[in-house]
Amino acid sequence: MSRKKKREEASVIEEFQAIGFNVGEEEYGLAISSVAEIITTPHITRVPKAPEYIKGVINLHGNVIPVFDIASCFKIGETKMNGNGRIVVVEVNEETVGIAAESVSNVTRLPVNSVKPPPPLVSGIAAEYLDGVARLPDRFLIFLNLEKVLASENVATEQ
Amino acid sequence: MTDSMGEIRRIFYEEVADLLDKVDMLLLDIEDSPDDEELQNQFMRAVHTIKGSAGTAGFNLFADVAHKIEDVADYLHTGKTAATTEFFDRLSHAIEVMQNSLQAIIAGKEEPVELEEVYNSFVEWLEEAGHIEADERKIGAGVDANQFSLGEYDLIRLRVMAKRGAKLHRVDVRIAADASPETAGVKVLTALRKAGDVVTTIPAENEMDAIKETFRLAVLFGGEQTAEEIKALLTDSDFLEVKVSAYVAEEKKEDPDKQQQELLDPIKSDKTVRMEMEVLDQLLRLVGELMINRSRYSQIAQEFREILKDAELAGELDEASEHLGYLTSQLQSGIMRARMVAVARLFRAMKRQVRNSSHLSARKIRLVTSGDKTELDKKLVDALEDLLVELVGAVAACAAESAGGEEVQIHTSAAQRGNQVFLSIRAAGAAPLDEEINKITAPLAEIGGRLEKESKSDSYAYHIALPITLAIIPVMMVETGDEIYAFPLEVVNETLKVTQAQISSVEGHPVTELRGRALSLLFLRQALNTPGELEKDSYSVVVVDYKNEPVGIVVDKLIGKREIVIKPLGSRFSGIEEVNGSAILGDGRVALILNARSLISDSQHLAV
Repeated sequence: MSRKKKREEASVIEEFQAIGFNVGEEEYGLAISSVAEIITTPHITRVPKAPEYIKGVINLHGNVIPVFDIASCFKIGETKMNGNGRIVVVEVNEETVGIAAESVSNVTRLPVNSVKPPPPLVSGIAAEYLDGVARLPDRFLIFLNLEKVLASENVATEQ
Repeated sequence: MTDSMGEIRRIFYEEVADLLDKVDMLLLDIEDSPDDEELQNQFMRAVHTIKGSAGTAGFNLFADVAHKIEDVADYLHTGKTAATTEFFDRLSHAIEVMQNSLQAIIAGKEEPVELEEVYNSFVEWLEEAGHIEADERKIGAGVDANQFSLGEYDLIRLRVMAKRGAKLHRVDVRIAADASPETAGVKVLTALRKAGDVVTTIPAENEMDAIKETFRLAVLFGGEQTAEEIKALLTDSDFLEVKVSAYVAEEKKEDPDKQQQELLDPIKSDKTVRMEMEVLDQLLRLVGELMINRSRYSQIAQEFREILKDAELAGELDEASEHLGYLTSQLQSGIMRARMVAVARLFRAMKRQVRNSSHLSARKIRLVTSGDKTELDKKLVDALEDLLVELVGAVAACAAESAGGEEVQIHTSAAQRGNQVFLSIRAAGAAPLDEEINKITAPLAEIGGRLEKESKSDSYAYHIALPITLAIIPVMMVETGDEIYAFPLEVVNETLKVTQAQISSVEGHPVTELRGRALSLLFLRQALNTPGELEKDSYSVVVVDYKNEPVGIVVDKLIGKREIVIKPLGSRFSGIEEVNGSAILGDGRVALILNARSLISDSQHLAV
């Protein structure tokens, strides 16, 4: 089910659960339903000749999946992995991928109507890649449209 | 119905599923070679067995359709009918309906009405063609009026009863016109079942409403009673007349050859076991993990040697792990063999596609196959079927549009070489547009396959290279910087160590000397842009063949020979030619499998 639909449903209850993850200066939000799992960063194997925004591949329960660097996707820097780093595993377009995160916040309940349509450009990211932004008292969450961001056409491998 | 019916359904499915596939394939072969008598015999035997199994299991519609197919095939055999397109279309359709019906049956449903439609359409067709008497009745009027149809199970039951000393009688009951025929029928059977065994009936038990047409019921009854005693059991105003006669087991006009075949087939299937694909998948996964686990022992042995400096313990561990490796290999081979199926079934699907294209266009297009017996993992075959049908469809479409009037041939072949299977499709004339073909490149890459196009002046070919299975291959593991890579062992000629001093430069390219000749070198670190820059005193070199010349790939360290399970990287990485998949190492890390040829041809660091 798309996030939008889930949100529509949740709007009856008015709230949904989300996690936030940090990359560079920004905090990105993901509805909990979109997240398959969150793991501590295993060894990331670099893939030579792969695009910049693919940090490499990792072993997830015996399957080899790519790890994305969101910051690199949008050319706004690079995700720095340290002790707090995590990989947020999502399933998008029938593909399991990992998103590199410098840190991950706890699950929060958010009012659905706190997620507003994004302005044309948010922190260097064009609106078409965003599902919305949530302005909360203490933070500002950017909700990515993962299907678009990770879609093969956008991020096709070099030939 | 007793509980054994569930068992009978299952046995029926197991026997008939394979036979239907076989029959489907044979039909295509017969269409290609209509004069081949042996093919026709095989076809009829298979259909005959299907008929028998269906009858025994109580799927009479199924049996009837099989019967009609047998008849029709026989007409071809005896020359009463010609091998026209209509002939094959009808048979092909009937087989398809039977396959769908089989699925319905195994899902617990009743025989679909489509079977009846097919049967009736056959009757009509044969009537029109003058092959049968106009009054041969369609379904609903009862089939084969007077003989009991006995399958293998029935015969076995009869033999057992005879051994027991039971007497067999045929009980014919005529039902009063004013009675409800079905109820009367049930009364007969209930009464008889209280007294002994009902082997079979005419009409069959699940077709009791056919009694409405004939007002007759015949029962093959086994028990201790005499004819008079049986007659005495059946007193009811509904029964107009009851005739009881001793039954002499008279098998129908069976061909001794056909009978032999029928007896053999069930025996053959006793030697095989059907297994869920999932079980094999699970086993293969476990073997893969065993292999990964085993390589841990090698690593640990290495650490004993280097860190603890205990060569003896290391040696013992190594020996034990080698033996484990040997056992695991055997296990792996066994399981992979179990999963292998012949590509013939792929060719069958392709043939069907070509046949359709041929019918749709005006050209006669034929698919000629070779290497049918080449084997591939079943998972791969399943994944390939759609892709290959699409590919051959595009080729056939182009062939259809080509000039000329004679038959167009498309050649497809399959061959195994080492760890790979090569599938080729060849045709003359103009090739399909690249966009059409590109649609299958990505899904193909996902299963580890690669498509290459070969263009000649007046013909072209597509070559697909596939791993034989989701495979386990031996590799040479190497380390450069902090990164671990694997080269498939089949491309590695030898390995050697070189010191910095032994490397010289020719026109800016590194070379060293190997047995008196110059060996071009490629530093892996440079080819892959490995981070970090470390000049070492000595390196290891993996020597591979490139265009018949040896080339040395320079790495920091050789880790050693290993066996790894190939994990495909997915279509996202299919554009990177230098990387051919990945493997999970003993410590959980992912190592990439490199394509030496691509590395060398890409690099500018060579003196070649």
